[in-house]
This record gives sequence, structure tokens and C-alpha cells, in this order.
Amino acid sequence: MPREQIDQLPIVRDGSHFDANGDLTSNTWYQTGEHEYIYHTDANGHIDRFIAEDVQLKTHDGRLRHDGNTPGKLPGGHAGHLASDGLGGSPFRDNLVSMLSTHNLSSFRKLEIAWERALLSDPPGRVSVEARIINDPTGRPQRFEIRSVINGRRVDLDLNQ
Amino acid sequence: MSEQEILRDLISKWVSLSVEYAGDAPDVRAFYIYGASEVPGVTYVNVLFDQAGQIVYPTDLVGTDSSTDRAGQIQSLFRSDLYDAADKFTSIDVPPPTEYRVYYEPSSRKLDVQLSREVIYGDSDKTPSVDGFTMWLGDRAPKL
Repeated sequence: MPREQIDQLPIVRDGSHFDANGDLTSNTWYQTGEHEYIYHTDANGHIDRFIAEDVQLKTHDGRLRHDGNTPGKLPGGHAGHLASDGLGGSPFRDNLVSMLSTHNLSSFRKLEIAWERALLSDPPGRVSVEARIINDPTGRPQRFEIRSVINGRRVDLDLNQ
Repeated sequence: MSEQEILRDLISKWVSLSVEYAGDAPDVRAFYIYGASEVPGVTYVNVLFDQAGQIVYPTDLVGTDSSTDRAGQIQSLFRSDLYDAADKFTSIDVPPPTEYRVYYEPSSRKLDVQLSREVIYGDSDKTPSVDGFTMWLGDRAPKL
């Protein structure tokens, strides 16, 4: 999404994307995490967009303990970060979705490693990511459509589950 | 539509898209189109170009519009064709291929297609967007 369009979005920055029960509010644009990546929820309050125009490495030490209770998670499945801990992603449900363990540990992880490697290069590279998440009514993602640009190279990947 | 007709249609569309993308770029000697699709699993399709002996990503092709938006458009069209073909395979009860390796030389119109129906990425630590071209082309594949 072009910068001019992002600037026009009604983005919540004060934490009010969570309701009193700790659930995400519906149809809400919000920013979260160390680098304030942008997210959107669908009509059911499930994350359906993730935008990181300028992906950056984390600034905290260690690994933050994350909330493992994501909508639609199946036995053996994972609560996967959209922006990983290594990229300063939020450890809460505003950045976590149910993901097949194989996606979380291999396909998506391998892509994250490519992003991190680009950022760690000398001079540091540039990475941007946009993802659409197609959810079923329970909030379980059926498909992740991940569009990233790594040092100017467009890399698109769909994860089906 | 038979299995062979579905495949011929898909490969023809992919090659045509690659020809269109390359446009007037000089000294484009070959296209390497790599596709992977597993359900559940990953779907990825992209093309590399041999330009003057160097294999490059679409955004590195010289002499044509190689913007990231256009590189995204061609990948989107590749995937759309792939999903259409998968539906057609399903309609005739034929399992779709999981991997496509398509080599095309525009000057001689030489075409080589290799298919697989093995699960390649499902239980591995690899992903096609990072590893697919490297598994096919080895060190000749450009690094991300």
C-alpha cells in the first residue's frame, strides 16, 4: 500500500484495538510492536492485514514470551508471529495467528530468515512486507498471501492451511 | 480438458507472460519459470531471466520496466493461472503437480518442462521462495 494511502488510514495507536475482554476489536487499523507495524482486523475481530513498510530488527534482549491462545488453533498447531520476535513483533494476540507448525517452523520461518539476513548485511538491506490473511469464521487463517520486497526484489508466497 | 491440455495451457500462459514482461530487454537468452504448490502448504511461482549470460530476478532485468510493482503483477498472474489449473486438475480427478520447472529459449523456441508430484516442502526446512531456484539451478541462481 502506498505511503499516501497509509497516511489516510484511521490507525489506532493508543492500545484501544483491544476491548475490555482482551479481544481485538473488529474492522480496526492499529499499530503495535517495537516498530509499530500496521495491522487490520476483519468484521469478526481477526487479523486480516499486516503491513511493515520498513522492517527492522528487534531492540529488546532475549525472546519475549508470547500468548499461545490464538483463534481457530488446532491441536498440534502453533500461535505464529506475523512479525517475528526477531523483528520486534508484538508478543500479544494483535500480532499472532494460528499457523500450521510446518509453516511456522519452515516456510514462513525461512522467509523471515531471508528478511533478517538482508537487514543484517553490510550495509543493511531494506525489507518491506504486506500480508493478507484469509480467515474462516473461527478466525483460523486459511491462506496467508505474503508479498515482500527484499533489497528491491519482489518475493511473493502463499501459505495454504 | 485432458491433463496434457491443462498443462499445455498453463505453460503457454506462463511463457507468454514472461515474454511480455521481458519486452524489449536486450540479450534475453532464456527464461527459468519455477512453480511450487502443495496443499496444505506453499504456493510460489516466479521467473528468472538469463540476460547476457547472467541469471537475474525480474526486478534486475535491464532494458524493460522492472519495477517491484510489475514484478509483483507477473507473480500474481502466474499464481492465478496456477490456481485455475489446479481447479481443472481437481475436476478431472488428477492430482496437480507439486513442482514445475519450465525452461524456455525465446530465440529458438526451445521448451523443456519438468514436473514433480512429490511433496517437497511439506516436511522440509526449505521454502520455494528462498530455495526453489537454488535447488534447480545451483550456484547459478541469484541470491536474494
